Amino acid sequence: MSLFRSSNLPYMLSVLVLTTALGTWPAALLAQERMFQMTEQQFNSWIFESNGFNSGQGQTGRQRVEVSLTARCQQLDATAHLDELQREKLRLAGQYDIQRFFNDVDAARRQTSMGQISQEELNRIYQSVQPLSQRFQMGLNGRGSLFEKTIRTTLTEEQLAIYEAQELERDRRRYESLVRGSIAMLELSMPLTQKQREKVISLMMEESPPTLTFGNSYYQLLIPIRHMSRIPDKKLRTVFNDVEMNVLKDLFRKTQVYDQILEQQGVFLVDE
Amino acid sequence: MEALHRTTSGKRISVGGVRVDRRILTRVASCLVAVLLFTSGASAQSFFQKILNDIGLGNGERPAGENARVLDAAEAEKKDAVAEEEVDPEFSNEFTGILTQVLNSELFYVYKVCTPNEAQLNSLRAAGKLEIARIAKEYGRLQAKNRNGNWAEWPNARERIGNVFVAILKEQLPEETVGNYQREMAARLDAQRAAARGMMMNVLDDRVYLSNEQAISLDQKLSEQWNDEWSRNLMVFSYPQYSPRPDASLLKDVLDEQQVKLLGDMRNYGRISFGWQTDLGLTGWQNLGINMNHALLDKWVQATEAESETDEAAQ
Repeated sequence: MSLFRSSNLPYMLSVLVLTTALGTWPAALLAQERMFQMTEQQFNSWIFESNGFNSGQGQTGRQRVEVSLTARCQQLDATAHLDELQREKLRLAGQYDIQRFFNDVDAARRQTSMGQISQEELNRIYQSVQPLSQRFQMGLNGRGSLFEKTIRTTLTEEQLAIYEAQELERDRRRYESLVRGSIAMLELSMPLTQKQREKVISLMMEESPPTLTFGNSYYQLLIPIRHMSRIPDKKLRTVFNDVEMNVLKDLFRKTQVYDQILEQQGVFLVDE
Repeated sequence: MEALHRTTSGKRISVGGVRVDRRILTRVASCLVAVLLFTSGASAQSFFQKILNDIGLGNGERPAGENARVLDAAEAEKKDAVAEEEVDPEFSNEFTGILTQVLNSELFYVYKVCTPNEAQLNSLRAAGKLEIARIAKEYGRLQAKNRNGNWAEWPNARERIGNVFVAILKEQLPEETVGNYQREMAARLDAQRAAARGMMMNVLDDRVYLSNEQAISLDQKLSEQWNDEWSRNLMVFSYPQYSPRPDASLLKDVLDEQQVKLLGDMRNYGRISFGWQTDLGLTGWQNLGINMNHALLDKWVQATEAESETDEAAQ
């Protein structure tokens, strides 16, 4: 065909080169102005899915908090022997906390633009749902909740003592798991003898454990390390030798930056 | 092609009875070709990548982040048949650095428990180096066979180094000292399991609020049916969607029906990888500066020897 005559070849080649260039350049431009589909499922996943709930299957984590509330009330009932009125008050208070949270989620959902949105808007929505995700992660009937306040005003002194002992035991158990995890991580580089291991664990469990709002956090294994950094050298030196102390000091210095992040996640460390 | 033919002058053609300048038509046709190419998705990158792949210079379907060259099945099979000593260092070099760190921490450990003298320590170090060279080759071959992720097949470097140390110590130190070292190694392994068990229980507790009695029973059940694969990498428990979970049958004995159902509904994406170093449980806080290097151990040995000389002099 005349179209492909040799005199046309340079022209055709230049068109090809231009085409290949155009093939990548507009793609880059398009990427900049890319639009995103914001859906209710996406919204739910940001709040609940990072906590292990499959929002795609209609789970929003409500079941989890309700089961958790029931289990807490049952445990309290089994040990502190609640009467019918106390049981009902606690159940209602717990339900109120849950409902209040889900009302806040609904309100946030209503304020969220669904459909095609820009990257900027997507980032804004993501940031705005983070506090909700954190609240969910920390538990809805925990410290500062109406459930917790109702416990303090509804239970008798004796029942309250039982409850507090129970919660203390739970906190202790959970924190000890973290301490053991953190020490095991440390031991991958700096192995300890059995005696050292048990001594440092009991030292950490005795010396003002941090106030924790439980819930999984990517930085949870650093909590005991930051806690350890606050224990006076004198005490740590009863467990570690000079070489180990130097290594630990280096670790403490390098992990200092995480204090602020942990505080934002509800972990409050106390200086000894 | 009645509608498209050249005119006698060769400068103009007729399209559907309309006379058009040949140059204009050529340009329109070129643009059509360009649009065709563009819409067919032939971006420059994939276009040239395909050419490179076809002539054997591209990286084909190599997984992102893969450091070593990936062999195809036939090559890998052939490679596997090659004697250990002949394995291309390309497949083992990347492991040596981390394995050396593991060796250093194990030397530190053996020194702490058994306090061998300098000559004994040197023989342990030499044997350890040989062992990690072997392990690196085995790792290299496993990687070449695309066995990344099947960590159960990968040798446990810490255990292997420990076993080599035990064999040497038996020849050089009293039985009691070697026994202490073995007990310490077993206790450390148990501590690792207990730590993982506790963290696994924290993940479950976050979901279903375990009572203290349930926690005690669950800990017992888990410890009876523990799978060592669960305790290789503790980092995974900070990511509940990926953390290992016990079988429902085990949970049924301890939790109530509602709790079991809720745990069953929990989303699990399966395995997450933090890189082979962490997945294999070889690294801990190294990225945060914890590295028991050669110099640290030497410093400790010198300090200990100086101390014992001072004690002897004082006596």
